[in-house]
Amino acid sequence: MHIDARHLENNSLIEGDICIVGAGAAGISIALDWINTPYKVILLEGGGLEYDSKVQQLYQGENSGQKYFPLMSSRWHSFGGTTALWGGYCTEYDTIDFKKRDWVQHSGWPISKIDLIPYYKKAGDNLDLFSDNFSLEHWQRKNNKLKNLPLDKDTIWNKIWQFSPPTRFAEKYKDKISNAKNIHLYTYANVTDIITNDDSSEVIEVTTKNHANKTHKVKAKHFILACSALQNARLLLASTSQNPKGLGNENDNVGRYFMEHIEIKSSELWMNSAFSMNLYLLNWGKTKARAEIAITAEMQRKYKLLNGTVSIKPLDKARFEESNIEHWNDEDPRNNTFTRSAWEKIKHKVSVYKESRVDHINQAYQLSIRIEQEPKVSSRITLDTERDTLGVPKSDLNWVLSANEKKSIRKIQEIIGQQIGKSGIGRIKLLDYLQDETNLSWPDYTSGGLHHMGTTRMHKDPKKGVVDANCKIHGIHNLFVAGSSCFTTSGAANPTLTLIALSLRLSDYLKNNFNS
Amino acid sequence: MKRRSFIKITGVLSISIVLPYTFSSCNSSLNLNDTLATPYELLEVISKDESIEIGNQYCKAIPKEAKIDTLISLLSKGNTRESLKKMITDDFNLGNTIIINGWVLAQTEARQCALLSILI
Repeated sequence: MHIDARHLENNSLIEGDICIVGAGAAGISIALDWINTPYKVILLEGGGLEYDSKVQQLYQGENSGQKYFPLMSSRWHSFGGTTALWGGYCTEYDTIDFKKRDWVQHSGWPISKIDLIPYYKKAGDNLDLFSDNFSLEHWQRKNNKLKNLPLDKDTIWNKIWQFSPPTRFAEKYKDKISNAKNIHLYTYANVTDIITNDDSSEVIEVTTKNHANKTHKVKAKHFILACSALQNARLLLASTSQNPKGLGNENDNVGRYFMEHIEIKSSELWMNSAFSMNLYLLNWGKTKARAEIAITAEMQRKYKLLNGTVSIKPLDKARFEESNIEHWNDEDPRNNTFTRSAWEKIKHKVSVYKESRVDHINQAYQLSIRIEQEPKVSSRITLDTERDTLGVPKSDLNWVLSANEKKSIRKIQEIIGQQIGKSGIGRIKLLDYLQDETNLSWPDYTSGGLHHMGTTRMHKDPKKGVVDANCKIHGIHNLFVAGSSCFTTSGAANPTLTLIALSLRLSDYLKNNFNS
Repeated sequence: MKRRSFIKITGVLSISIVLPYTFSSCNSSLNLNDTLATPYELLEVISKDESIEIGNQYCKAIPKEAKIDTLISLLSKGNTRESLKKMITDDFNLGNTIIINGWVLAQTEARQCALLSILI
C-alpha cells in the first residue's frame, strides 16, 4: 500500500509493528523480506516516487574537510534512494576486512565474513546478479578467453566484480512494495525527530514532516534507520528531545569514523607484447564479470597495508577522463552522469591522440586504485547551525585523508610493479603524485566513490561504536540501523552488495527476536 | 614518448673506447659493455632517451655507483643477455627494486641505464 503523506490529515498517527526510515537499497531490501509476514511494516520515504528538487534540497550541507562532492547530490532523495544513480558494481567484502588488524587503528568488526555469507546470495538476487559465485576459476570456466595476468598467487590475486544492470529499486520494486498488503509505504514522510522515553532506552515514536506543512507521528515496536550514512547520523544527532548530544551518542561516536573509498588513478602498465585483457576490462552493459588486481592478506600483513584493489583501463582513453570528483560537481544529481556522456566528451581527444602516436599505446593501461580508509575519529559529520526547510540542522562533512592511505597506495603499486617485472610482461610507472615517497600531499583529482560508511559503526563496546553486532543502537532496545553507516571498516569493495547483505541479516535477527 | 625499440649502441660505445678495464681483446670488451649497458627488456617499453634519463637519476641517487668500473663490476655477474635477464627477474622476485621517474625497476636494469648514461 502506498500513501502520500502530504494528503493525510495533519497530525495523523501511523502505527505498525516495525518502522523502516528510508526506502533506499537497505530499507527496501528489508521491507521485501517482510512481505507476507504477519507483521505490519511502515516504510517511510522522505521523497516521492520520483525526483523532487525541493525534497532533494533537504540534503544540502557543507564540506569543511577534504574536497568532496556536493552533499546535496551525493545521495538521491526519493523512493529507491541512490540506486537511481549507482553504477552497479558488486562484489563481496574480503575476510580480512572484518578482522582486527594491529596496523589499522579501530579495525575489527564484531562479526566476521562468515556471518554475512548466508545473506550475500539474496542480496545479489535483489541486484539481479548472474551468479553468487565470485571466484576467478568459476568465471574462467564459463569463458576461457578470460586470461589472468601471470602474477605470483602468493602476492596478487584476482578479485571478481559482477555488474548489476544496474538495478533501479524504484523501477523494480515500486509495484511489489505498493501491492504488498502488509507493507505501508508513506512517501513525503521525512523523519525529523526521534522521540524516546525519559531515559532514552526505548523509542516511542518518530515525527515526520513535509513541505505541505503536514506533521505526523509514527509508532512501532521496532524502528530501523535506513536513510544512508550521512542521514542516519544526522537524524540521531538532531534528535535532542531527551539528550542534547543526540541519540545513541553518549560516547560521542555518532557521525564519527566517516569513511569513503579513495578512488584515484595510480600508475601505468606498459606491456611489451599483446596480452588479452578481457578479464580486466569493462564493456558497459555487456560485461558480466571482471577482475581487479588485489593484494593478498599475507602481503597486507607483511607490509602493513590497507586493503585496496586496482582496476585496469586502456590508457588511450583513461588519460583524458576526468576523475569523479572533477566530473560530479553539480548540486543536482541528475546533471552528474557517468559513462556515455563522459565518453562523448573525450572521444575526439582520444582519436587525435591515437593517430599521433606510433608506439604500442594499445598495450598500455592505466591502473586506478580503490582503497579503504583508516577509520578516524576526526573524519565525521556534525550538525551545521543552518537548518533545512523542515527545520532539521544541515550536515557538515569533514572528510579526512591520511598519510598511511597514500603510503599504502604507493606500496601497492610497487608490489604490482615487482610482480609485473618478474613476469617479464612489462613495467609499471607510478603517476607523478606517488613518485616522491616523502610527499604526503594529495592531488586535486583525489576522489571518493560516493560510498559513505562508518558513521554509526558496529562495535561490541558502546564506548567504541554506536551499534552492536546486531545493528542495534547501544542502550536503545528497539532502535536499529541498516546500511553502510554500520560498517566498522570500509574494505576495498563497493559497499552496496554488503550493505544489503548486512541489512538482510538485521531483518532475520528482528524476525527471530521480534518479541524479546 | 615510449617506443618499442632495440637500440644499437655499438657505434656509440665505440666512441668511448677509453676504458680502465683490460680484456683479452678490444672487441670482446665492447660487446660485453654493449650488453651490460643495454636494458633490453626495459627498452621494449621505454625509449633510449628515457633510459638515459633514468640512468642520470640513478647516478644522482646512488653516487657511489656512478662510475663505469663500479657499474661494470656490479653487472658483470651476468655477462650474457640471458644471465642479465635472470638477474633482473631475481631482483624483482627478491624485491631488489628501485623507483626512478615513477618506473618500478630491477636494480640490475637501473644500473644498466646508469652505465648507458655514463657511456653515452
